[in-house]
Amino acid sequence: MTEDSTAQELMAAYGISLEEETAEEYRGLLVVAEGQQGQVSEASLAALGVGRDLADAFGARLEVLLLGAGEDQAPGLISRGADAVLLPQAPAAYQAQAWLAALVSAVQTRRPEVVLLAGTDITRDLAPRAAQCLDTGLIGGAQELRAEADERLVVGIVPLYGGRLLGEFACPVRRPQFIALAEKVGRVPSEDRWRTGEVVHLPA
Amino acid sequence: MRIAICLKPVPDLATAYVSKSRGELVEQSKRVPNPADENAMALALSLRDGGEVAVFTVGDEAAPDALRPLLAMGADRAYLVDDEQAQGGDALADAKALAAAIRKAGDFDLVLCGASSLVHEVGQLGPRLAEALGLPHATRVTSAQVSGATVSFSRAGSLGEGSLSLPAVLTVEPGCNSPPLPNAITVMKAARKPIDSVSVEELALEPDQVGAAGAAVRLRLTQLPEP
Repeated sequence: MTEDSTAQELMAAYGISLEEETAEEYRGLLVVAEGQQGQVSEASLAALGVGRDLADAFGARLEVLLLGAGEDQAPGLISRGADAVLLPQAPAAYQAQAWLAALVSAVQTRRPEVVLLAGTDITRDLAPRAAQCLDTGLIGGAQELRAEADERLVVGIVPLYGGRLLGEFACPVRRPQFIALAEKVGRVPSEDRWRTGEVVHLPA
Repeated sequence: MRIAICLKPVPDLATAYVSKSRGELVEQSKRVPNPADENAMALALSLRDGGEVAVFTVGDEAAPDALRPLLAMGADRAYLVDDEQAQGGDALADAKALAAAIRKAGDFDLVLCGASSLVHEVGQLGPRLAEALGLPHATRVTSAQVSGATVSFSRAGSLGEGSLSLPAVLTVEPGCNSPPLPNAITVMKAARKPIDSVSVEELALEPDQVGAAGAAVRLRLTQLPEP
């Protein structure tokens, strides 16, 4: 593998295929959480809060893919709404190729119908490339989300032309629906220490 | 260096206005280059070292209005995917069309585009293009230098400095440099530079991969923000 390999080539090497599946086979939400200096960022926790509301509207399970922080962060994510915390084999510091492969692999194995990310420099770098690799759509810069539970659709409201207009975007067919929030959307949820969840170590 | 620039023609916000009754933008003059793409063009000019700079865009008959300013800035030629089937695409579909057009035009050392657009403030095209081309990428580049087969760059935001081996895709932060203004001579020269029309068939793409048929994300409606 040269450093220029795409995520597709990496996954082919690991025997993970990218054949299309129908929308019905994708279920649940995946929230991507970033760590900074070993702690899950506030922006990621806010995204978790937004994700939990969506998951509840869909009656769906919510898993968090934790990048850049370790297992010690899992209890805080579970108490704030994660049904599972997924720990990939990926470096703690952002490395574009390795984090991309971890995200794409997690989507392929967990099959979420929605992938939700906070709006950060890393997610701007990562999410569009992952969505292209997975041949799906990304709604970026969403300042508000609306769940259409019957269609299992998330509608993203995005400022256009510097905020002169708002656009409502949806990804009706392809799965998963990637959504990146605008900065400063959502708030850190409070902890509910009675919540339980699992910790899953993802294979390399 | 052979450098490809991906251009997004955008409405001219100096003259466009928002229709309250229709809840949409009404354009009143020709399309213009996305400002961040002009910054990408300026970076390309600083790195070209002779070589060639080519501009690629997916668009319709309004697109040449936005291509000519970049030709006036110093690009050598342009490629326009103006096939009807390629229109109305989202970032997923457009990245496929542009990647195919870039590959067909030959090997480029660098592919540059704006990091964001006037339309949506968060850019997707650059990383998508990189994935479609199988190249490494970096976003929000504010300055760059090439030495041998390596490009080193600074980035806006928290990702800081970095480097990649060529060929690579860079997205360029709006406002990071000063694109040259056109003058009468460069505009005249630009009128003679080629804008080649490219069809979906020539790109060996299936119709369901590009344009509205290939789009994953749809804009369902636009509305005014709450006051």
